[in-house]
Amino acid sequence: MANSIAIHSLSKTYAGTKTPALDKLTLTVKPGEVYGFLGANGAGKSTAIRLLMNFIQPTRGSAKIMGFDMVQDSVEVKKHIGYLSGEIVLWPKVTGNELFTYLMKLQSQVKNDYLSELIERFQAEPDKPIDELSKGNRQKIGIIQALMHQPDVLILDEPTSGLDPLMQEVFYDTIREASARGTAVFVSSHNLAEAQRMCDRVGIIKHGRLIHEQAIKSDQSLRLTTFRVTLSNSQDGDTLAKDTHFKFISRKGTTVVVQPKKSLAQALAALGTYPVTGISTQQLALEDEFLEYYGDGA
Amino acid sequence: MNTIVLWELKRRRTALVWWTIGSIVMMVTIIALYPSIRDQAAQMNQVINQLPPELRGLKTGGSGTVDVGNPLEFLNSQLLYATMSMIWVILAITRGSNILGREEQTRTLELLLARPVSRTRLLTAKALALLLEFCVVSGITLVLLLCLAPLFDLHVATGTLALATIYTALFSLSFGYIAFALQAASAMTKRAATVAAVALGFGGYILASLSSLTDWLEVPAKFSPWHYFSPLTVLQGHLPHGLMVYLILVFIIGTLVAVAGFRHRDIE
Repeated sequence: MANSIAIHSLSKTYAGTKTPALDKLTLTVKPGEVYGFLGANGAGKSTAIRLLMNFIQPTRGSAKIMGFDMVQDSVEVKKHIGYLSGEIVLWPKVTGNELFTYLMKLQSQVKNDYLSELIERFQAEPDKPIDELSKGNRQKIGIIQALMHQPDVLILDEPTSGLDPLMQEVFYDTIREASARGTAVFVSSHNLAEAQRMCDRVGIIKHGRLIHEQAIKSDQSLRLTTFRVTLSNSQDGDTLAKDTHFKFISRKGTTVVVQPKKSLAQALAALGTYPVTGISTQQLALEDEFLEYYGDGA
Repeated sequence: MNTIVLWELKRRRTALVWWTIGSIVMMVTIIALYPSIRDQAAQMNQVINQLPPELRGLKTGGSGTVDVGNPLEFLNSQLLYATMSMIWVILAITRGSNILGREEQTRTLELLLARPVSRTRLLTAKALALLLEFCVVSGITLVLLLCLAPLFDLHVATGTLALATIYTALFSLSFGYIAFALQAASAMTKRAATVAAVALGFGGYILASLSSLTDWLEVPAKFSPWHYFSPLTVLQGHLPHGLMVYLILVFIIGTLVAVAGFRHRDIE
């Protein structure tokens, strides 16, 4: 199956700077896949999204969306995209309905039934001028305008910012439906719990470089369970740290944190051969993974 | 393209109404004074022609004597050269700077660029909206001027008066178009756009008006479009070729620079 998004060695160095804001980004997103793009402020997330949208020009590299080059075929690419910017800004005196009508005309893909469904689902207030809406309600208008034409690719920058927990649930459900229809979703987020919940795969970006990619949903229970094992002596700690049944995570004295590589039963059987004085399990959250890459403070 | 143009006009409708009212009120106020000024033309001319040349220049663009009892000279010195052109220059520069620049600043431009709209098409629609907004304000003012002028004894051939007013409007619009083209062309020119347009629009006016005062201002004044701007020449039935060349160059070069730059530049 062809990739919905294919980014190859995409780089951007802004005028007047020497350090690239984005450095040789290479990744793919398949149809129906939800890809989370994670990173700290200034890591290069927004630069990547703005490059994908052709708002800024790449210094090197290329990106294809639905097989079309983002620079050469920008207009064709936009027929397939729904976009939500990080800090949604809309014309203040315009109502949501006026905005939807205008953008629908520009998109030339009118799907009024779905628009009505989204308005109802998000309990949006499309009759009010934008400047009379709260931040959360403005965000709903932003989300609806990105989704309303049922695009093949969704590019979303911090989409749930300002939404209450109830509306966040509605948003996750809507994204799941879009994904089931085959829509590829590229979503940048600071919210790791949200990414863990919503995404099939995440990429962590730091200093403009993609430093880690990880699948989330597949085999999640196995991948994310860790054992905090306390042993009677440090020599056994050394052995456990090198045990091929486990992925070594960390060690402090005689306490070793490991993650099973194979099945849980095999892991427990292997642990039975060690002089264990204490054991606890924990879910290795995406946050731990994220901190592992960002934890050095660099 | 029509969608974007209509959207711009719809969003700007209230401001357009106020600009049109302002332009009309200013025009009517001035031409309504003509009968009383004509009756006292001798005294008025004496007063005006005794003014220092630089002050007279601010009203007429030249240092020659003025006969405000003559309808053509009245329309030139009191209405077209300084008053209407100044109002329209303010409108043109404000809109020329904002129609693209403000949208980029507030990032609403991204909403449009996220749709299947080419940058050239977007730019053309914005330029067309700028032109139409300007046409609404100056066009309604022109129509009323043509209707009202005879009522105030300003008997000038309709075609000539219309041409002189259109010429003044195009001249004023050129400064807005310069601001618009510089906004579109590159990140660097974007920052200088409003300053450059204001410097040309207002600085150039003062420079051209004062050029007769000292010799050393004569050469730099030749670089100001105001130096070539003469509604009186059009009212007298001639076309000032220097300014026509300036207008053609501004609109052609401005369009080329704006399109070439905007197609490939980073949106900030």
